Amino acid sequence: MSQIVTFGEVLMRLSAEGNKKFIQSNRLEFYFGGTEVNVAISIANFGDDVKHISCISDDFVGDTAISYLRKFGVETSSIVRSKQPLGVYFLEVGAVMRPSMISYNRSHSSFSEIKPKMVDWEASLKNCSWFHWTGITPALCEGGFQTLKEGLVLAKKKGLEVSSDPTYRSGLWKYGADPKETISDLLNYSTIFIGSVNEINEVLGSDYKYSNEDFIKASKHLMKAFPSINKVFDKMRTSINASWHKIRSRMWNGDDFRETVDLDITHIVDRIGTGDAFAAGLIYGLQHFDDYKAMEFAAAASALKHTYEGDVNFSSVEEVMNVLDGNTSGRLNR
Amino acid sequence: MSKVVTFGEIMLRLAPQGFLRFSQANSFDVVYGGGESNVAVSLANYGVSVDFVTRLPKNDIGECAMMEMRKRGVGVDKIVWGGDRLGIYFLETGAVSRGSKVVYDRAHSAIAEIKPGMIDWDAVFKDVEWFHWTGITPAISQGAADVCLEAVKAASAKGITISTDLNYRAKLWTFCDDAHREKIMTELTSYCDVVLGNEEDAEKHFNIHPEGLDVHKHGHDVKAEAFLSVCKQMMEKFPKAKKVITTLRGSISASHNTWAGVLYDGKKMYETRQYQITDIVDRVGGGDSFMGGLIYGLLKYPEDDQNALDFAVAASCLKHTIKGDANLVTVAEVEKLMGGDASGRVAR
Repeated sequence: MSQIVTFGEVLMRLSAEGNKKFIQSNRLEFYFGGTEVNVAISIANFGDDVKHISCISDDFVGDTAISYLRKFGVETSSIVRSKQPLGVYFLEVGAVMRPSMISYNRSHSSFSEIKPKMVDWEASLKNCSWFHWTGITPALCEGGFQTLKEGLVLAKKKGLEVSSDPTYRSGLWKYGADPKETISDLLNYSTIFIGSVNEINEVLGSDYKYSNEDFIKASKHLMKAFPSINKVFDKMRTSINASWHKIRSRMWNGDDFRETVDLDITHIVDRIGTGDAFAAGLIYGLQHFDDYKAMEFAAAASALKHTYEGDVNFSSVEEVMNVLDGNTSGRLNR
Repeated sequence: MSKVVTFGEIMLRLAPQGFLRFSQANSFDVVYGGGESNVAVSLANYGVSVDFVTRLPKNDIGECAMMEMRKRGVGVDKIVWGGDRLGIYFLETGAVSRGSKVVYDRAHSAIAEIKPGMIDWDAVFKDVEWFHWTGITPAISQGAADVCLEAVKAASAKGITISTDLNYRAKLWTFCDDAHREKIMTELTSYCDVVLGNEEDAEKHFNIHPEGLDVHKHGHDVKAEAFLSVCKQMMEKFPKAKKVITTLRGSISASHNTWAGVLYDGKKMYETRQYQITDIVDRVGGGDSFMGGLIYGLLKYPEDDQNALDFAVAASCLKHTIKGDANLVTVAEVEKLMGGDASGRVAR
């Protein structure tokens, strides 16, 4: 059976309980996360075969992170280890008009030690049909970029589907690389682009606006610049306040433009990882449904993620389908 | 390393935090455990390839039990799904003169309603070297006893080494009378190569007594020699058994136990040093951690029963310091204690 591969840093998340501010809390909850890990666990929850590749600390913290992945059925056999500690991020969950706050402690993490040749890509991609990467990895360190590129070169050679979520975080990118150039380099190996008009503008240096018309123009422009890309998916968020968002998505697959309706999330539990939930839903959806239904599935999956604490979407396919079928009453299931 | 299979029930354990009594608690800590799954987790931690076989209900709670096993690196592919519920047990942790209490809510669990033919033992035992079951499984129901017999017969036909932990549980064994129980346990045990029990197991299951010792009155003063007679009687009754092993728990209080083991191979009795476990964190699963260590030891040091036994005792000493049912220690940690380093210094 063919496998999906994700590659990127695993972080330990330490968060204050409930909606407490850091200064109030004497107790931190821990989860493991990281954007590509979140995607992998969600795909595993949907029942597809998925492997995560990373560089994890060679200590009991790293062992615990690996157990965590294994618990959800993510394959961990290609993970490499290093002597540096696992990266950590601290989270304070906001509410209503108070935004969530994040602070990273990842600059000399185990993942920052990754170098080309550490991952045996030939063996790792042996039974794979899909590779997913995000813009976080090349933003972290030179070794992250080079190792990712190594994997993508082989993925392209083997004809894998490659989904990219170039998520631009200006706070990262400290090692001197130019984000536009670096991401562009990697997009040459990608077939599916998950990102907004802003992210397309970042890559192309263009100035497209938010409208559907501009989204189509921007997508066509992107596909011309990167001929291997054949589908563009955009996830859109309207933020009424920290507790109430509306999400929607749209797509251009070279032939068709489609968009979903707004999904109204009135009482957000935890919005971290909702973009990852979208990507996971999309990767699952594109393998089981047509493009439009895949996008609808991804949007519904992302909407459900807003109701879980932690970074990961714990929904099953059945639960996502329920939302897709318009069953959003949230009635108690007895 | 060799492949091991264990078979039995895994339950949801709900325990008040710390030393709270049931009547004080407003929340329970969640653990998933059971005699045979605890052995599987021990072995996975030691790097042994191990599958846990059970029957779980196809609902979120059953899935969580499976995920807990998978998290620990135990193979879960041979688990069969069906039935209505996962068994639950409530645990109140005692201290000093107050013993721990267990309340079972496990009747009609998925595995209690298992029937012969539900598990494909031929597939389960492919390339397997060792099969482990315990006296808890046949106590659950006639169906579970029947499937256990099916398993030992299939394993025996393939020449697989079979071990048991007799694990007498008075609160179970409700589906049949004592005579029937003894018949079931005698038949099942007759297929075993390695038999582990404590003084109470041999007495309650087979009416075999250590000479000159009343364990209830003299719980703090258990002597290895007294068990030689138990081992000899066991070997007479079960000629296939090559090794009979007894754990020696001295219960000075609920918080302070002594711990040692003896192994008899029909010729020689091996004995370990006696450990003092002065501040018990959680003694549930202590015997399972001994069994996990023993299986590892016997596989790793096939010509050195003393070493295997020493490993088992040291491993289960460490279990008493770990909250939850399963022993979450590595080979290196056990070997450190075997080597005499019981200082508990911080490893930086």
